[in-house]
Amino acid sequence: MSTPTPRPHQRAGVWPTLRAVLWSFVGVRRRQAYHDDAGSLNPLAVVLAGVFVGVVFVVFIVIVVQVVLA
Amino acid sequence: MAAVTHDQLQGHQHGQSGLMRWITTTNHKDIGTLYMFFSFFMFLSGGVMALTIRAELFQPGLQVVQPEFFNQLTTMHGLVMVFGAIMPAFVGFANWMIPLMIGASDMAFARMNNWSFWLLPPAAILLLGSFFVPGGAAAAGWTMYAPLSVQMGMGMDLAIFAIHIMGISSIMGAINIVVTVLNMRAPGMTMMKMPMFCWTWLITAYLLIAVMPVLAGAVTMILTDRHFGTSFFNAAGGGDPVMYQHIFWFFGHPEVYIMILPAFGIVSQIIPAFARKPLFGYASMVYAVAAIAILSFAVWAHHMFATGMPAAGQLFFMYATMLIAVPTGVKVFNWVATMWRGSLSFETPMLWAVGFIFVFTIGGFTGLICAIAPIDIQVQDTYYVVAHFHYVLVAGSLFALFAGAYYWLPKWTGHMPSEFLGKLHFWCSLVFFNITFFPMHFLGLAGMPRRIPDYALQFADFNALISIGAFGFGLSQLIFLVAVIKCIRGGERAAARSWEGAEGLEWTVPSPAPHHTFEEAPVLR
Repeated sequence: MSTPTPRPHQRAGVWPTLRAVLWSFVGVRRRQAYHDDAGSLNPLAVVLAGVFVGVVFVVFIVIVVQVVLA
Repeated sequence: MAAVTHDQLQGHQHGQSGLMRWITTTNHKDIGTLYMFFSFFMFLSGGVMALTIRAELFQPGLQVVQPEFFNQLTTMHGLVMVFGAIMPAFVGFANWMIPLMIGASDMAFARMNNWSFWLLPPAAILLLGSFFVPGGAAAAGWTMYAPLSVQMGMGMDLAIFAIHIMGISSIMGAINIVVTVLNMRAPGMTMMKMPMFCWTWLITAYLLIAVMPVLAGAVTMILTDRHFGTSFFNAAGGGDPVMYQHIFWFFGHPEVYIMILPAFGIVSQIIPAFARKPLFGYASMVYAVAAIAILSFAVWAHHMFATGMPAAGQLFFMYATMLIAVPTGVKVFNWVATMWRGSLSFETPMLWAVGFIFVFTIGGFTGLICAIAPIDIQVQDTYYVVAHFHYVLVAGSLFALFAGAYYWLPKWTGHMPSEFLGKLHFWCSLVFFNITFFPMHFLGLAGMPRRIPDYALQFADFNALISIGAFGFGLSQLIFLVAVIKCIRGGERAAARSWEGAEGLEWTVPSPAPHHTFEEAPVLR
């Protein structure tokens, strides 16, 4: 696969990590953004962000359910 | 080519020979082969159980087996197919292909790999041997719901121990795969260059490590309820049988993805090869698989709408389940987009992969229908559900396994599989599969319950048709056996790159792959 080389030493902040995890919930991502992610994201931060967004996802559905039932 | 040395080109393996070679082997290819032969044996065993079930259901009334034995057959068919056939088959593929795909010389923990496999035959003996103990095999359904599972004879104990052993095997296999993928990739094989099959297996391995202990905990609680005076699930002692269902399905739903994500990986290797185009949306696929893995932990109670739960709970699990369809839909879209305007050819592996997309999508849609709580309460425990999960597990997992087997058989055996036999196998399987399982939707909607040996007269015609289809499907699998044996014994010599459009490191080593490969890591641009 001919892909551009990522920049290995640049660490991503909180927002790029959250943005990558949020895109994963939809399941789509631009190739270039994915390559940037692969080069810059900290795996531990991605796991923590994944758990956090998972909890937010659950809370969001609970709120929607409460609104529907009200 | 740095991948192999002269000695390895001769296919030499060193050490024990004969039976002891297979017992003591730490070679990933040998262990992969063992996994696949084991899973095929279990597939045939589970298949014989399925055909006995269908023989009984050919017409109303009791003709072939007694109801008690019928319940044992439905239970054991599920356990054998899930834990003995589908899961080990995917682990076999992982063992054979992941080191070859990432340029590693072997799996990370080669001896643990041997132990992972050799735990399986004792588990299979416990499981299949339980038919011959007093009271017969476990008969509570493959889900082993309490209180039935708390009350049965020693066949249930044997099933519990078999599940413990197979769980340990799966966890060890998963740890091996995670460490191999993360630590043993060839220089230059970055995560984002990794073949999709390795990505899907990496995420599957995490799922296995997360949920197999949950299943082990659930069946251990059943065991202590049965023999050690606890009352986790015994209402008479203050326990809660519904808690068992929650614990089981917290394992059970990610398990569904454990059985389908590697299938997605296989299909994602095959479609680009025969469309002669790179996989469309590789990044999307990786993200979609990760998303499915996370979301799969938040949907378990959609298996329990009829058990009884508050309206808020029903709505929560209904919404969450419908949302998980989004990343799954992304994948189907990407496969179709990969084929779009590609230079397509339809050799046997591609036929199976395209057949997979077509039939698996039907199973996905019926899953969405089952996700709607008011509908699910109507179709719960009917043949509609049986139709749904067979469309996912047979047309999904099994078709992908056949696709992968025909795709990589040249690499495994050094010979091209017979196109005639492969295509005959495909068309017979596709036609008989649909004759078997499509009418089950109608039976389910008409109210025929699952797990019964007898039924009302109005269901007779469809059941006769289904049984004919099932025997056709079962016998069609013998074509695969013939095709594999023929391929092992001889046939057209396979080139290193056996398929014109195939990409990846596995196609840089000779066919058959030598016993040792990539002792020196390959160089990736």
